[in-house]
Amino acid sequence: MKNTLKLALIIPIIGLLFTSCEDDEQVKMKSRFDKGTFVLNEGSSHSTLSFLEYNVDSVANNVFEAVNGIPLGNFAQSIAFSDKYLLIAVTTSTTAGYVEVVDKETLVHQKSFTGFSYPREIAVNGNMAYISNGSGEGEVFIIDLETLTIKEKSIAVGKGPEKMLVANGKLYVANSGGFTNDDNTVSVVDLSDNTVVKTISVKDCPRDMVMDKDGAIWVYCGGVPEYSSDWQVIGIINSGISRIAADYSVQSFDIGKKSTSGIKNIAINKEGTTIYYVTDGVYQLDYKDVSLPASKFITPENKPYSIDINPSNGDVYLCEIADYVSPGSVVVYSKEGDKMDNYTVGVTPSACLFQ
Amino acid sequence: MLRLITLLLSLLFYHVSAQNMGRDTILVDEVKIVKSRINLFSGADYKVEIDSLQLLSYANTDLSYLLAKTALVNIVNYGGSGSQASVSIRGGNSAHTTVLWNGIPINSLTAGGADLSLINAGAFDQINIVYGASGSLYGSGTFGGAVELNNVASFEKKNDIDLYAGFSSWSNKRFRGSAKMSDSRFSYSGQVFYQDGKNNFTYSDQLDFGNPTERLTHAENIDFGSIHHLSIKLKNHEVNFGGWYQIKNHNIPGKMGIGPPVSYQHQKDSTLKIFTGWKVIINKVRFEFQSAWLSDFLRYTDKDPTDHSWKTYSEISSKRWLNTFNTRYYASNNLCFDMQLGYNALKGEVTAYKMNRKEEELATSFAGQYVSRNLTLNVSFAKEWNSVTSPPVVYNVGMSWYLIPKTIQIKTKYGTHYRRPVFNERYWVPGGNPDLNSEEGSGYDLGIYLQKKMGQKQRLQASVNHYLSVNKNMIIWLPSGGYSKSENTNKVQSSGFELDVEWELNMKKAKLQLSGKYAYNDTYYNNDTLDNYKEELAYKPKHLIKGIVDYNSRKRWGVSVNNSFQTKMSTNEGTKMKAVALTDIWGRYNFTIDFLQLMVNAGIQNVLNKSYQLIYAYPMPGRMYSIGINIKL
Repeated sequence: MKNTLKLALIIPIIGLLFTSCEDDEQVKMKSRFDKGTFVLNEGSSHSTLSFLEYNVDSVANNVFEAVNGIPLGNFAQSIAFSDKYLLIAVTTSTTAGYVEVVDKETLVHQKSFTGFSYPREIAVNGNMAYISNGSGEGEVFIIDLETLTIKEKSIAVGKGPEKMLVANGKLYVANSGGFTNDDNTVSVVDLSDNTVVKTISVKDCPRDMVMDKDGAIWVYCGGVPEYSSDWQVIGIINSGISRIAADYSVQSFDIGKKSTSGIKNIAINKEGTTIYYVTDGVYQLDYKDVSLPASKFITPENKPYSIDINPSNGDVYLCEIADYVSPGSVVVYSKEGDKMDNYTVGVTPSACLFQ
Repeated sequence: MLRLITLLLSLLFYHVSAQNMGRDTILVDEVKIVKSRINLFSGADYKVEIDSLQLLSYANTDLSYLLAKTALVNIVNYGGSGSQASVSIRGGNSAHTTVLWNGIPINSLTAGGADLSLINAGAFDQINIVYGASGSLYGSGTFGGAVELNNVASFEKKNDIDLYAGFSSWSNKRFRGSAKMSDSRFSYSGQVFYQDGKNNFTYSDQLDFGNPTERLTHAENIDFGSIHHLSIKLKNHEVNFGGWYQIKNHNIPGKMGIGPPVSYQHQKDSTLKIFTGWKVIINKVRFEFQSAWLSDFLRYTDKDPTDHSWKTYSEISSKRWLNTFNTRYYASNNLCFDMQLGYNALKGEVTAYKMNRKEEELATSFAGQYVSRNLTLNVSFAKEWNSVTSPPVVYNVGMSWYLIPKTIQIKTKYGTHYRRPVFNERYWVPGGNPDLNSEEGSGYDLGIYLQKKMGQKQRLQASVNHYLSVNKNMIIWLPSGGYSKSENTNKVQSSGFELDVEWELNMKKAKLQLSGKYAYNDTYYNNDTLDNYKEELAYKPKHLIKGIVDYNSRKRWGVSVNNSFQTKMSTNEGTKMKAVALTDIWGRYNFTIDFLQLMVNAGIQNVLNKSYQLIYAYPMPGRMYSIGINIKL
């Protein structure tokens, strides 16, 4: 009987012993992130931040968590620099969006702004950061970066606001239509009094924008899926690129029933003269062109998801994904379109930001 | 057409049967005749029945809690009582694990998996885990295995009425009334249940700065339902009826992470499942017909707190009419053949499909069994014709052989599997792909089973089972232009073994049962042309351990200790989730007051108050107390 009772105790005790088995992996991490490129990876269950250090042929992945001890959260959408900070908009899947503010060189947490329902993009103008928010009716929130406080009053804009761009004292907001894809406008906000002074119609679902040397805004419009009679997707309709001139006149170009699923689909070099956009490949055009190119500038190996241009040398950084659960890659091309490097980063890389 | 085939088969078997009349009588074991097709021909499968004492302990939880603590399966749960939960076996996912209620597959027609939070563990007389269940017997989606939920007709004189009231931490209440009435010709069991709870437990948010203690909000759930089973015997006929109605309202809580948990999501589920069956035995031929009608509804909503508009308003409704006609012919005491025809009508009404979707299926399967004194051989093959896709022919060959009669048995089988694409994979707009093929694969099992009585008091049972399973074209959602599209892309291989040891000691005043189970599984992507070649799949723990001690006095009381352990798992991003080790303790005390038999059942789940997650960022509850009283009239 004694042996029996001993045996009866063994199984629970074995179970208890396992409770101490925990993952104690430590990630070795550098302490400064001042010379390189940040890559934001949307992820599938949580987002990560990668860092490509200049002149070092390696990638440090998941640097935010390594520095701060907690992960970034899920569905981070955009990153932006201010003088002191790196700001990251994290959408989340549960209406618990936030903007994370970290030191731009050490990545140490400074403040989290919570309470956003669906934060998407960040635009920084001096000491002010503008956050587009909303999957339906949209608004732009303003964060004072000097005091790290958020202003009470937001600016009402169109549906599903995404990319914002500051130019000539104005904030341009691309209203993508959000979950219902039913907006095709760009709101123009006067930053002196934070009021919408103009709403400009472009092609459907505007998501991304750049400004050229002449001050014209080039808007990438993702379009709306086109369905067959039995509701199979057979293409994208009314996608294209709209050019908003300084006098707000609009000229639109058709990109032919194509678009990508990412939200950073158009980029421009530092001089504002060469524009790149992504559909089934990378296309390049001059800011003076009056039509879109017919042939691809770059034919990527995997699905292109976002594009950025390194302002220091004009290199093209293309984020590519194979699926939504495997690590993606950042493929670097010269401004002539020659492939130079390929870095494996986190799952679904969606934006690059250059220090 | 179906009628014609049925008629021809009936005539054929009647003819064969008539020819045999007058020859030597064939004495067919009655148990074999009563056995369903699945049970009879799956003898080489590794099948484990959940112990009745464990069913009693977890009778007032949902099925995910019972299986997590007692079986070698992987459970994922989105946050405690009432939250969506699913089961997977041997490295498969939930759509690779078929859940059957009295032989009827109840996995979601639209999504593929079964939500275990909608299944009360106490609603069934028997729960079996079938590891690597044969595709030719169990149908689509058995790469991992199957879970059988059975209501068993007893046909013994019995009249029981039970009332139960239970209360547990975080304002959880459960009430249940059940009845069992039977005699030699009639068997009825049924129950009505109600559960509600706030589920507002506190947890340490390990994904927020400083790991603050937060309280889960917006996690209330209410669940109400009723389940019934009736069997009537009329000479050599048996007629069965079953019904299951349930409705559940569930607020979906927020997640761990930076900031407080916030959510405005809500889900309403309702289901109505009914079936009727008839079987008859005429000489050496057995006929069985079953028809089931399943209606499932789910409404998922998410609000935008800014303007209170719907961020998401999605309704998912499906209806299925499932029919099988089965004939079995006993050619001799050793040999039998079986044939089944099936016809299914399927309908999906889903917001995201933009239009109603309908499919029809015809299915046929053949099986044969040869039994000698120590050897059983099974062979089966099956084919489905679906109005949209054409699944492959699948087959299974199995053998059970007693190396030492009644003591050591070897079981082995080899077979193929398939998984028909589910409606979401085919019709979701955008991205559903009507051109998808069925997933196809194969696998083998090899097991050794020991059963030994040691004197009058002790019994030992042990088994070790090795397996390999290959999925040649798993369906994955891939980026495609401005949306995602489902594609057959990836090869997956899963291998491992299960070890199960049970020891029972019957003493004069008590009975002691010890059970230890261990599973090793290695599941990885196996396409050498892709970057993820040899990478392990997310949420697949390599090691599972369950340890159970049951001590029951002959008089009044009993106690159970359940330990479960799983090693760390990877998320899709490669983050390692911590290993989870949990201990539950249950106590039972029986007494009588006049004609009433009462049992008080009390338990502490997660005794050590461990913080853990089964899905990344979804906190699970800490220590939970529960007490209930069962009154038998």
